[in-house]
Amino acid sequence: MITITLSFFAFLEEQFGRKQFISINEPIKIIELFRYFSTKNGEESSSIFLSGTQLNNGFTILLNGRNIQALDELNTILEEECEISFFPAIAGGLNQL
Amino acid sequence: MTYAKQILRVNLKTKEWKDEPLNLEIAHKYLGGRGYAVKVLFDELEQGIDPLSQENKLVIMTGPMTGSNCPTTSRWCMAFKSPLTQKTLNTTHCGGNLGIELKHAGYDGIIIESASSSPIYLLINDNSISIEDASDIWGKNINETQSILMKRHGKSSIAAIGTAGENLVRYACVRNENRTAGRGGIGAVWGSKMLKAVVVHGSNKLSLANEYAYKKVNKQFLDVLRGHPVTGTGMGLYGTSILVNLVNKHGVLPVKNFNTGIFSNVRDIAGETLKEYFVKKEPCRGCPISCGRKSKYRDVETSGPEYESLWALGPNCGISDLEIIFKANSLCNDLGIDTISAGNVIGWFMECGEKGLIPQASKFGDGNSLLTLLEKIAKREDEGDLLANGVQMAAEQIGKGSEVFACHVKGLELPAYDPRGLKGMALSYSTSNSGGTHLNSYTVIQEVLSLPHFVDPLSSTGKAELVSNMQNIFATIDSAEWCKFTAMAVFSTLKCEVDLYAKLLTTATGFFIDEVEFKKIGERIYNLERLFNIREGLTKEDDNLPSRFLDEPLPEGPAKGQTADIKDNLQEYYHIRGWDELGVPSNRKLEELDIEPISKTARLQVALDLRDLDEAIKIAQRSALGGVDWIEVGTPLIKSAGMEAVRKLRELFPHKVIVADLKTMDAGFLETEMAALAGADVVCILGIAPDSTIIDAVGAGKKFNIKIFTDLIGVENPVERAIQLEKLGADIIGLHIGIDQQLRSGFDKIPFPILAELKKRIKVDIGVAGGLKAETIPKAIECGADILIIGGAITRSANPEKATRILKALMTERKEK
Repeated sequence: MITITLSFFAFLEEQFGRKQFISINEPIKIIELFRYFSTKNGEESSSIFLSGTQLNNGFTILLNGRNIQALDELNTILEEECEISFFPAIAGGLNQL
Repeated sequence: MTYAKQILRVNLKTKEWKDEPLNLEIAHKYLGGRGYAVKVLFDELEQGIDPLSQENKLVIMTGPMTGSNCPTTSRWCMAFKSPLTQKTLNTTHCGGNLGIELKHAGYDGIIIESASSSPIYLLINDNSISIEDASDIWGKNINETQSILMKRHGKSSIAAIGTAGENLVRYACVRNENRTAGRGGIGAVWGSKMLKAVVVHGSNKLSLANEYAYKKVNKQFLDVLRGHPVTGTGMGLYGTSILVNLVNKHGVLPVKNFNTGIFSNVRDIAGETLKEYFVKKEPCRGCPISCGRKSKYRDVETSGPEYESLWALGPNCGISDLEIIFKANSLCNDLGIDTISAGNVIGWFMECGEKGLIPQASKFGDGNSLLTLLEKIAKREDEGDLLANGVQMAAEQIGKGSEVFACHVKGLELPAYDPRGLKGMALSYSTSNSGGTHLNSYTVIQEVLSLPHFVDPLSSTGKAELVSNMQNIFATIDSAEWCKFTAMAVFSTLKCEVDLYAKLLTTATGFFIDEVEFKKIGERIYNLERLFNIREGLTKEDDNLPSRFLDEPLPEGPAKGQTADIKDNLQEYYHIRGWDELGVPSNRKLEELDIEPISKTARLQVALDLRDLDEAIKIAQRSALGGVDWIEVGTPLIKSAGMEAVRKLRELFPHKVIVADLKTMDAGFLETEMAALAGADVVCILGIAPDSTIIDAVGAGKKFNIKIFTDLIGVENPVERAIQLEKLGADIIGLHIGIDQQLRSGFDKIPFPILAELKKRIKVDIGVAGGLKAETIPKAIECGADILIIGGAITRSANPEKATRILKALMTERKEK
């Protein structure tokens, strides 16, 4: 069992809480993580961050502090306990919700 | 145009003042604000002066956008030689109303000279100027000073220092209403002049060069700011403190004097937490971004606190108690202390305490000690006297290895981003003209905020170009007096587009400024600041970071194991800037930017009037070793090897000025373009060519950034023609006795009287060619030659390097006399 911590900041915190935890049985890609996320937060919740398989502009997603764009973006594989942090573009982006 | 076209010059010793016209030529080249102020100080400050002596000058400047209704332009700045760094020329900016009032009072700026022997303040009410006695407010802090002066003078803007400035704390600041001109020790410069405050009220209106066009562009600008998530909503909602969590997650929030980059109690001080204590917005006048705010925690109400202040007075001292941070921030604002430098030097002091280097020093996390230390610093009491000199001087005094963790660059304390985990910021800090600041180039925008696109903070690739580009652009933004936060919305790619800014400046000022010119203005400013620092003795060794960042890897987080070695990036940066390997701007770069070298000496140009390119290259290489300044691809060489000769020499000598002696008689535009595209910096056009050819060549010169050398060879009346050529736009006039003429009339027939007459009648540089040799060089320089063009004496010499060296020595000796 792998536990993934999701941390939310700025207005995202108001919407999803400060932290959420998702447990998975085997390594998954970040894009697949959003399936679990939608299950937990409602069907439309992932659409804040994603348009299809593309990350929306205005959000920064960090895996253990590294921007996933420096990794394999949404295809980055989560193999062990880790933290995914979600930031809106320094707190803005309300108009995108 | 939005300039008031007038500068006030005040001598505090004689208590005299006078109005001077704004130098429009300088305004065109340096814009205003930072650029204009830097140019004034570069020209007027003697090398080596003590920044706290009366020889230092203080320039208060507005920019051409200050006081327009363009968003974020309530800004103004002050430039001065920094008492903190002791060598650099620093500029500090402020969002208070003083700039607007000053512009409305009819002044673009104030140059303050000398020092008063008793406390005074400067009062400006439109055209009425007075120097008032400040004895009754000397010794008071900023809140009380502002309150007294507001009651006394009514509607006006007040900038003032607190007791820290009076006591010459080297990082004392100036407060203007609720905004701060913070860095570099401007408050101490005021204190050294016994200048307590500047009070300004103005009622004139500004005019715009093209109001209709300006309004259209301004609306576009406003729409861009409002439509962007950062400038439209985020910054107004949370203020700058929203950066705390994001920077911490990246592992680059400096904690306990940069010992690590992750703060375990971050939640206590983060923007999300501070939002709960928000009282009201306190935006700069006319700013739609509205990041400024007032907050209240328990009984302590304070401005901000801004991200940098939260960090400096919090994590950097190991403190997470918001009440302490609020109190400390409030104290700094009232005492007039720069929060960044204060938090940095106290963090260093606490580390000295932890390591037992200073027995009485407090330890990390001691909040009450922080508050006490701030009071003591302002009064220069006990250990406060040591700390009041800044971290560099304090560490030098204490020694014992404490210099290793004194976190500054060039004497200015570093701000709230650890350079080990941000390679762009590492280069930004180390190459900043004013020292450890994030405001000359802020690659956090790309590396942390991912705006407009993500750039990997742990990669050095592309950072040299990004940093130099941002430094240039920020210098122009600072000179127009926009807030740099606008850049987050305006830049749409990593090329940092400035088209919108350029259009605003063009329509407001009437100067034609496109994107190229916008960046060139900034580059000119950056190079002039660099020259100021070089004149003061700074070298490549000062483009560096403290040992902590080079030798101690970050211990945890996403940047774990990283250090900030910038050596390779630095050479790439110098190369991009057109500086030599020692970081000195090449003469070629200075020529391109229309900046005179520090000590303008005549330049030596070797004329490669040869047939064979390989031979020419060998001679050029030897002559370059001897110190030749300019390399001329002579006419015979171009006829023999074509423009390839220019291309080849350009490639081999990237820092030398390359002259293409095309002797153009027709097709001025085309041939100038050809020379420019081959890489030449100067192209020679015949002075006897028709005016139309000269005009076309000058036009191409402007378009392709190449200087036009007009050669007077064969001209019957050289003085008269030179005056015409200067009017037509020639950059250099060449007095030239041709080889054939020399063969017939002798080699010593340099027409010195004509040269002397030319020097009197024209302003542009004069080149002299034709038979110059060792004996005639002193006379040529005495008569006013700026460029000495020498062919055979070098090219036919058995040792071109030695010949060049001898000629250069002769030129230098002449200068020393």
